[in-house]
Amino acid sequence: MVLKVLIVDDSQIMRDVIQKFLNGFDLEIAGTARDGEEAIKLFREIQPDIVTLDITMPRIDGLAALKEMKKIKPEAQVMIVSAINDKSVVLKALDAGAALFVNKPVSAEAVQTAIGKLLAQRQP
Amino acid sequence: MKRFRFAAAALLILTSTAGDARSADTVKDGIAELSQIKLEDNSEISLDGDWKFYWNEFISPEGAPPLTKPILLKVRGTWKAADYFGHPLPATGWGSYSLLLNSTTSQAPLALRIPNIGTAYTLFANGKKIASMGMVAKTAEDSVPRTQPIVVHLPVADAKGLVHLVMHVSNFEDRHGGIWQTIKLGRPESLLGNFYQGFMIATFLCGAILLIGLHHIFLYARRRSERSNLAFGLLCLLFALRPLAEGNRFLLVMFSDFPWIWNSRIAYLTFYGAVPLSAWFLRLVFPRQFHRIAFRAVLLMMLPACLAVLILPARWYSETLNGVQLFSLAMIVYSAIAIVRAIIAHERGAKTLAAGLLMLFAGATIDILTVANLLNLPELAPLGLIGFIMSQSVLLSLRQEDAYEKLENLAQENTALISSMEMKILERTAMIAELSAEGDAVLGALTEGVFLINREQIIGNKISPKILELLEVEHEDLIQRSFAEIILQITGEALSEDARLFLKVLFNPDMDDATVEQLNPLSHVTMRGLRSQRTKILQFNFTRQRKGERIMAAFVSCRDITADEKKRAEIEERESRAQNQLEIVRTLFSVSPEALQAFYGSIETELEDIIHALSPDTDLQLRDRIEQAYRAAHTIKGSAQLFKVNFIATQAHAFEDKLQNLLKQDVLENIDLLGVNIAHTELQRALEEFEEMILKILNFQKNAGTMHLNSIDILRDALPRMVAESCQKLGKQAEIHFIDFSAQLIPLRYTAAIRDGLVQCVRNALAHSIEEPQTRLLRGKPAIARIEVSAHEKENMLFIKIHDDGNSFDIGQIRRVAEERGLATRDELLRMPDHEIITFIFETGFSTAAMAGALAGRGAGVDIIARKIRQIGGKLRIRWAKEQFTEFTFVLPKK
Repeated sequence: MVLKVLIVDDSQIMRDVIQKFLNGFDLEIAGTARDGEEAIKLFREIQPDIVTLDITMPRIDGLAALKEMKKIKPEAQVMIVSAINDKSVVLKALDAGAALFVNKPVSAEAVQTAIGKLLAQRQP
Repeated sequence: MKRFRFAAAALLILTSTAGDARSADTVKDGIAELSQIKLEDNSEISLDGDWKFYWNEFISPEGAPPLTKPILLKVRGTWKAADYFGHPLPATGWGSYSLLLNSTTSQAPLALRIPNIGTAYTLFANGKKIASMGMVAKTAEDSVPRTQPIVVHLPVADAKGLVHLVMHVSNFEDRHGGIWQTIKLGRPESLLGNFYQGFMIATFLCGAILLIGLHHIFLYARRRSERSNLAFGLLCLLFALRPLAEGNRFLLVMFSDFPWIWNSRIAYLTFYGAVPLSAWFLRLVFPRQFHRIAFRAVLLMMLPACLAVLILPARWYSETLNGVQLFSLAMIVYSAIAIVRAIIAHERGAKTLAAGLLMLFAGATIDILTVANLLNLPELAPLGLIGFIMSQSVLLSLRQEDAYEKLENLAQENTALISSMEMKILERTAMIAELSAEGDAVLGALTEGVFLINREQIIGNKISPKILELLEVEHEDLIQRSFAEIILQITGEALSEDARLFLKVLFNPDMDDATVEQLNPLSHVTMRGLRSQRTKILQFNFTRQRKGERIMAAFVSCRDITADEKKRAEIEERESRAQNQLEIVRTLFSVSPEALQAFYGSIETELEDIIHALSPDTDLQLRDRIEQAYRAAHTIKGSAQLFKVNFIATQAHAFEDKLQNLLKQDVLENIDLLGVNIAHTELQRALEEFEEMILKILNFQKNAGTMHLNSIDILRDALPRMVAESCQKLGKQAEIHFIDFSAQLIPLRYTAAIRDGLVQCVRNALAHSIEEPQTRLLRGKPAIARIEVSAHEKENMLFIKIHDDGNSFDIGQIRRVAEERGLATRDELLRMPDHEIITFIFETGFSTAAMAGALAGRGAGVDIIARKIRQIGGKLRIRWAKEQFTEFTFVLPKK
């Protein structure tokens, strides 16, 4: 079964860029969201396997959204894609169950390596 | 070996009395001629020979003539295949043996030892039944088989000295029928004695072999690797049963109800089963000599045979005996060859085992031949077995001896090893101590604090002394403690939690090094030393220690970057200043000097307002003060924007923001002014720089001849503008005139002080001295007041004079203020002449202005002027006349 991906970022450009970087993988981009609230709603609907999540977003921020997602589907793999404005928040997100962190500005290589790691983690 | 010999001798004694049957050709044609034989007390007479045999007829024991003709049949043998008038007799069937014992009278009392007879019989002597075994019958259905040797008393002979023996025999179970073994004649005591002796030997052998067997099985149970022990043990168990089930068949003697068929099966199994077990044992002991294929052949042959013995009727399995005997002999030959090869190959214990096996094989061979009626010897297999077992015991004791020897050697080696280990340990310890000392020396020499953190986030034992100095903690407070706890101690909870989470990320091998480095929350830690009470900035760097995929530890280095940070801040400030100056230069070149001056002039009032608002001496309410400063900041921002002095606009905007936020608060406290003051300082500094730059650039332009204005010229330009603006605000009219006031006359070093003094004086004049136009007109003065700024030199002194034709000082007002402030008593003040009263205006913060918040009168007046002039080594002189004029003179040394 093809894994479903949810991309969450308040910037349209970032969403497009990440989507483009994931082209080479056998993944289905099941949805994109521009803030935490929309992200949680979509997450609940499509039950994705992988989420790329920005931290600094309007309405509900990434950390709160992450915690909510982990409640809905704990086995979903969440990859933080964010700039380090506040190390503490990134560390808290990793502690709250985010599998990986990719620093912005992102490169294709960084995103693809991280996705590779997530997929490797899925293999028992 | 001694033990072996002893045991062998004991066995010889035990068995020496067995079987001493005299073999004589006394039995012929169905008559045993005994008259010539003198029986010794312990001798026996074998009744082997030709007996009369009647096939398919139980002849009358009383002497009635038989119905059929007899044949002569060899006793100790079988009727099977015997020539019965031209045709061979079958294996099964029934018939009668007959023997006439002659002249036994003189020998009485006599007894017969009747052996195993296949498979049931009844014996009569002179018509009287003296013994029976099983149930003889003419059909298989009626027959009850039982084979068991017994001793029976022989009745006294008849008058003729004859005893007529008639034996009815039937066999429907075994492969052959008849008197298989020798019937013996002898003294009853001797025969019985031999019987009991046999019983004794059998039980002895059984017990001995059983014990050895169990011993080996226990050995195997303890040491599973020695499977030869198991093979030998099982072999012994099997052999232990043989003396009971075979020969005298004591199993049947002891248990009269024991079914014959099972005794038979056991007897067969002790032979059949022994073949594969022996082969297994040899295969295990001499794997190189006893070939695997031979072993397999034995199994293939013997296991089905054993199975047959267990499940088939005796009639069937007994038929396999000859084949098995042949096969066994072949195996004995093969085993003998294997053992010889083992001896040649000097296999351990081969000779001893060979000796034992030789005895066993000899016994077995003789037994086989005896059973096959080729020999007539007592059963020797158990004896051979004992020999074999003895050899095995010797082998075992040899092995044990070896084992003990090995053990002793090992113990010695161990002792040697332990002592050498101890030496090695000592060497290692010394080496480690040396290394450790070296390590400590290295750590001690480090200027950085270093330590290790393990996966449990605990700090290791090895730390550099520098770390204790940096963190200002004791050694025992650091080692073996949680890192997050240490961070908690030296900083606070938030950072401690971040440190804990960070270490979790650090020990996650999926996180790459670059990310981990980016997330380090301790790259810039501000802490206050517990001992030094000094604030410092520490930098922690983490290096991951890998072992394969796993991250085993974090190597942490820590250094004090306070000095670096200070330098960096300075550089940053310098850079930002340079940036500001660049901005100023850009402004200077893009905006006309006049505009700049106009701007500068336009904001001075506002700056004064801010200073006043923030001064602690003001009598305004806190909210009013902030409102005033806010309005002023707003104006400054507007002006800066107007004149495109962007960096001032930015500063002013920040200041304005701060004030605006404060105004949003419901309650204001003095402490809130703290932040405002800081922002104000920033703004002031920016403005000072701006001013400084303007002066520098203008000066530069002037020297370069591109522009003829210097700061004095700027002042000459700016002051009239300021006067005009101020007049407009104050509702007054005034003009400023310059007399000989030029840059040529005034040294550059005085420019700033003179400018500030001048500005202040002009301000004061406008605020305090110059009257409203109406008043002036009433006093007969022109409505437009005149302010004169002049400069002249005299005797190396420079005089700068500022003259106004206003009202001058209000002495009465000064007195009142002085009295209110408690500078002097009312009486003192009344006695003071006016020129002394004037000196009060030099007091800091002294103000007489009636209108607060106006241009001047904020107490930063004359005292500031005086201080500034004094600072550049000059003096301030004041001349005045009430309602006529005020004149301030700056007296400055020319050099």
